[in-house]
Amino acid sequence: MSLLDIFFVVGILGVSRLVQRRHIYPEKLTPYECGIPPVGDSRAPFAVRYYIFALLFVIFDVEAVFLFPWALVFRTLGGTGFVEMMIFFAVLLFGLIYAWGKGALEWV
Amino acid sequence: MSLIEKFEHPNILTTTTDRLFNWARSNSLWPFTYGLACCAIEMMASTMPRHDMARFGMEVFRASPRQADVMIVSGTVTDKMAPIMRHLHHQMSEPRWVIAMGACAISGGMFWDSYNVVQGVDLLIPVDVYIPGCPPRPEALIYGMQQLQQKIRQDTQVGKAKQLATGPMADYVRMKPGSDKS
Amino acid sequence: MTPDSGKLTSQQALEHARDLLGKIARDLTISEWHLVIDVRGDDLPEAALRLRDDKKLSCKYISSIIGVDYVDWMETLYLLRSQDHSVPIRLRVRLDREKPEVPSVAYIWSGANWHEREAYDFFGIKFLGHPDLRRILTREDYDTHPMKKDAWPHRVRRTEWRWENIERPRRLPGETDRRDRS
Repeated sequence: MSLLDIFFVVGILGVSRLVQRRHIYPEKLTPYECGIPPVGDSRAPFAVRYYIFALLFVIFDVEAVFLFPWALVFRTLGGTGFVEMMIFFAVLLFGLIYAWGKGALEWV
Repeated sequence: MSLIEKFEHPNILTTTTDRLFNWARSNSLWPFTYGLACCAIEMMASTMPRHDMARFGMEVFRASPRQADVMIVSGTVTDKMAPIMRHLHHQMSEPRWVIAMGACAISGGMFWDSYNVVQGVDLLIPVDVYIPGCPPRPEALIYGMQQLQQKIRQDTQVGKAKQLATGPMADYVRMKPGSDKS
Repeated sequence: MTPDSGKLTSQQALEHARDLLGKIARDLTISEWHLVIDVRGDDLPEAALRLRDDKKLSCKYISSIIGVDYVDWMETLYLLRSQDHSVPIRLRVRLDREKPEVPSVAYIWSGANWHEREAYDFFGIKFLGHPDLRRILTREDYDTHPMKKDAWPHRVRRTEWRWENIERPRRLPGETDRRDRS
């Protein structure tokens, strides 16, 4: 199955590479800033209040990564597996409720 | 460079691919929102429900030149705007086309004797379709886009490599990165 | 805009301005319900400040700053509006044509900043004390002031755009990055 996926990706990108028109020169590669020479640093300071959203996202994204394979092997794990996953889920749920109560989910 | 461009002459291998690519490109032209003056209002009007440009595949107006196919120069280009317009045209990816919309873009228009107006954008960038009018009606703009579509359908990928290497852009192709720093 | 909308008539505004400005106002007239006040260039900031801070006239809005080139003299016209009454007030400053200088009111009304830059760009009127007097509408390296009566047509430099002499937009020597980084 994964061979087919690899074939699709490589095939499409490869065919695109074969038939595309490549014409690269330095002026085309300049960063886009509405046509004027770029001013200032491209690394702008990032507001630190967005850090909490990034942190919450990482945590629950990793949780999702754990939940998806569990959905595939749900039947083989049986009741024990279900209880274990529910404990895992409950721990993270308490974390979410705590963050909610602390006001971390308020959009600033 | 790509395979097809390496051919010297159109042959049996390239006719179908040409038809395919031209069909795809002409039916999904993404315009670059380069509205400078009053013609931009007519350009906006041509996307509105009365004269709908989206039915021809041109509804996706991109604000960034890197994602756009056709640059509709609609409005007066002043001397201050000229290098910016040229820079933006260079930042568009091939294949790219230019439509000069309105009298000011074609030849300076009513500002024919002005101190600050470029007398036609074809002094700066290569233009494919000229749409006269002051401003041209939305139907005229749609007609111009259809003319561009017809022009694209007659296009061929064969020989583009040589054309790009020896045409007006040849100096840019051979330039080393960083050598044009000001 | 009706001439007398009830809160303040032009005549009342004239009387009040005469009392307010005293000797600064050289001449006060009413022209088509606008109150026209002639001041000298040196007294302009004082007059502007008094007109802005007055309770009754409170001209908090600088509508436009107009440069005029009569052949014998030049003039700067400040069009002031107010949110409390509907009498537009014009401050007229007569300038010498060889040396057109007038104190800047950019510190009194922030909106005057760009208006004064435009008057400088087209007429060469120097606004003393302006925080950033440079060209605003013409090209950065333009050398004439196009709207002066003797600048047209033979001394106005037209830009000859060709494929070859187009450069990338450059930063001029001495021009710094004035982008506000807050």
